[in-house]
Amino acid sequence: MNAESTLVLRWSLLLVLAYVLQVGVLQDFRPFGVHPEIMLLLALCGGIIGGSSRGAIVGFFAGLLNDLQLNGSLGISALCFALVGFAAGVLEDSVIRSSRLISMAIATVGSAVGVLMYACLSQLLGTHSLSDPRLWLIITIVSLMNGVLCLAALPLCRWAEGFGLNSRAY
Amino acid sequence: MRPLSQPGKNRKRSRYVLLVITLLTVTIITLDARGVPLLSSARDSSRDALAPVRGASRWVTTPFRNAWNGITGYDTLREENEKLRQQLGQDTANEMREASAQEELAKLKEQLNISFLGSTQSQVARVISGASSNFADFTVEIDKGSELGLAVGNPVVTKGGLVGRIVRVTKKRSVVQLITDPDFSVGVTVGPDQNQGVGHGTGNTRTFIVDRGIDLTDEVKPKDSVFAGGIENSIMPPDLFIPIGTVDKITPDEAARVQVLQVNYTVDFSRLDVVQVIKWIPAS
Repeated sequence: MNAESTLVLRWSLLLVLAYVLQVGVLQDFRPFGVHPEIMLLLALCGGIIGGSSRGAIVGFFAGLLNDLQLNGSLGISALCFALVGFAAGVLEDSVIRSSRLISMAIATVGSAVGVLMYACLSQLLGTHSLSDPRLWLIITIVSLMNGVLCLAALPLCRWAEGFGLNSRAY
Repeated sequence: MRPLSQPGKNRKRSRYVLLVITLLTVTIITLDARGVPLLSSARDSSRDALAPVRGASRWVTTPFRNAWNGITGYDTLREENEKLRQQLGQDTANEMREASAQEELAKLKEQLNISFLGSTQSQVARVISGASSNFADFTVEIDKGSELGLAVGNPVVTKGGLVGRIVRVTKKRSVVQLITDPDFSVGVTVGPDQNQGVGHGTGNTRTFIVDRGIDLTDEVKPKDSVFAGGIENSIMPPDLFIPIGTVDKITPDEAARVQVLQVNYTVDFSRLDVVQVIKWIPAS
C-alpha cells in the first residue's frame, strides 16, 4: 500500500469513528443544552496539522457526514467546515513558531466562526438558526468545548497525517 | 513534520482545491433543494444504517449519560427527588421497579385508547431522540418507519392532542416536524361555533398562534378548544378533530380585521415519549 492510500485510509477511519462518536454518544452530552461538534473540530485539526488543502478536504467530508444526520439542507456543513478547515491551515501556516496554545486558539476561534457561518447559511436556506435566541450560547459552548477537545483530536490527526502520535507537529 | 510555510505552487493547489470543494458543495446544496432522489436516499440509508449504532451507543453509555445528567441537572434532580420521596414514601426498590413498569404499560395503553381517533388506522411509536442539531430544528425522531406503513404527511398525536407531522421517512425511522415549529401552519376550528382559521407554531412549547381566518365578528372566548382537522383540503384528516389546545388570550387586529388567538397547547412537549401516528396522508 502506498503512502497516499494509507493517508486516505487513516483519515477515512478517523472520520467514521468521529462520526459514530458524535451521533452515538456526544449528542446526548449537552452542557447547557449544547453538544460538542467534533466533525467541525476534525476539519480544524485537519487544517492545523495537514495544511489548508487537507483542512478543506477533511472539512468537506466531515461536513457531508454531519449533514446526513441533520434535517437541514445537505451540503451546508460541508461548505462551512471546508472553509474553516482551509482557513485553519492558512492561519497555522502564517504562524512562525507553532505551539499547542496557538492550535487551541485556532480551534476555538475556528469553531465559533464555523457555527456562525452554519447559522447564516442555514437561515438563508429557510431555517431559524440565526434568529435562535440561544445562538451566542451555542457558539460560546461549542468553541470552548472544541478548544479543549482539540488536545485529544490533534494527536489523532497527526497519526492520520502520518506524523505519528507523539510528533511535535501542531 | 509539516513545513511551516508552503511554497507558491502548493498555495496555488490549495486555492484550486478550495474552489473545487466550494463548487461541489454549492452543487450538492442546489441538488438537495431541488429534491434529487439520490441525495435523499443517501441520507435515508445512512440514518437506517446508523440506527443500530445509535441504539447500541445509547445503551452502552446510559450509565455515563445518567451520571452526566445527574451532574448537569442537579437542581432539577433534587426537586424531582423531593417530589418522589413525598410520593413514594417508604416503598422498596422492587416496588419502584414495578411501578415504573406499570407506568410504562399505562403509557402504551393510554396511546392505544385515544378517544378522538375513533377507528382511524394508526401506529404506536416511541420518540427516540430530539434534535440532532444544536440549533432548534423543531423535530423529533421516532422508532417506526415506512416498513410499518408510515409516510410523509402522517399526523402524529398523543392523548393530549396534535404533536406534529412526519416530514421524512426511512425504512425504520421517521422524523416528525413538531407543531411548535414557526413554519408549521395548519387549518384549525375554534370553539363551539367551529370557526375556521389558520394557526402556526411560535418556536416555544407553550404557545400556538391563530392569526388568520377568525373574523372580528366571530364569537370566541378564552378557554375555547382549538382543533386541527375538520377542514377539507387540510394537512390534517377532515373527519377528525385533533385537539391543539385552549384559547388563552384574544387580541383584535383591526388592520387585518381578524382576531389573533393565543392558544396554550394541551400536549406536554417536554415529556414526549410514546406517540401515535395516524396512517392518513393529505391529498396534495
